[in-house]
Amino acid sequence: MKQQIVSDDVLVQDARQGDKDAFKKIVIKYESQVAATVIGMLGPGPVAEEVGQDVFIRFYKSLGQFQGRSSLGTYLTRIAINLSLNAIKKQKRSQKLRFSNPFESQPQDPSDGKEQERRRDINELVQFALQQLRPEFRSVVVLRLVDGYSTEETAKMLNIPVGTVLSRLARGQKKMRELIKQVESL
Amino acid sequence: MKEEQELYELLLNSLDGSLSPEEAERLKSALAKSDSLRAERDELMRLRNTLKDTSYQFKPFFPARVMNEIEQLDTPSSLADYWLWAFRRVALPGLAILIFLILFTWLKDGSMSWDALTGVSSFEQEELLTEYFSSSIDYLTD
Repeated sequence: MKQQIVSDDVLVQDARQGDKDAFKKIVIKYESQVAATVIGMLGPGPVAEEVGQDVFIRFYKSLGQFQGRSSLGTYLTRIAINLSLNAIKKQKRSQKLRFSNPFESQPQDPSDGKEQERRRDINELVQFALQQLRPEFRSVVVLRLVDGYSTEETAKMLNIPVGTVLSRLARGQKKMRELIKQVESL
Repeated sequence: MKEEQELYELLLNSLDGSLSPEEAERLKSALAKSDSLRAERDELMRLRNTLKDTSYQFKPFFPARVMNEIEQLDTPSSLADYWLWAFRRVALPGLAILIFLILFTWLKDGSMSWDALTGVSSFEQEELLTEYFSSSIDYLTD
């Protein structure tokens, strides 16, 4: 059966008129994009899951305010980054900050080959290093390198100058490389 | 050491295309000469590619969980919530009707007095008694 592609504008319009199926289609379409931002910022785990849900609930509540000046993906990413930064602040305040350690969260599949295992190790190491960055650096790295936004788009989303994005990006990558080197030398 | 640090900074900045032509030329010649700088560049590229290629996913059934939360938002969860929900839906139309009736009366009678609002102002006491008795007599004679 040929699947009909419906534009974001139509889905948002339908969702505004109470069409829950239309809203569900938006959730399905942007789930992985929001996951990349939220999990990139918070690491995998219950906090990221909760923030991910909050992103869409927040959007549902403010459907009327979305004017389509930016794309729906950008709009959701902006909500995701703001809620993630809030969650980090909240965690710090309540002194319950606990970085999700990817080394302990991923179950190992014994059927994996050596190459897959090596790739997974690198992946976990990079994710671990990402979680160690300070939030202002992490948000830039996530938006620019994980989500793939341009430096200009990243600057606009975070409301900071392009120069700051570039310097934070450079410092963030440098810090990550140092952390990875430290772990690899163990 | 200082030069090495500067070159590393140039390398980082080059990845986002923020080098001047002179800086780009300096980095290019340094990369041609230095094995360690080339290795560092490769590591940075690997880091960037890993970040870009990683698949981030929520736990299964994420859309269903979101929709469930949204359903709960739209449904009153307790009796108190239900009354509040019902009140909100009744109070606003009720208020609108009341304002309309007051305005209508004011335009029609030119008065906002209680008598005008309730419609009593158009009757004199004597008329009311006459009305009452005449209808009673009609009833008895029938």
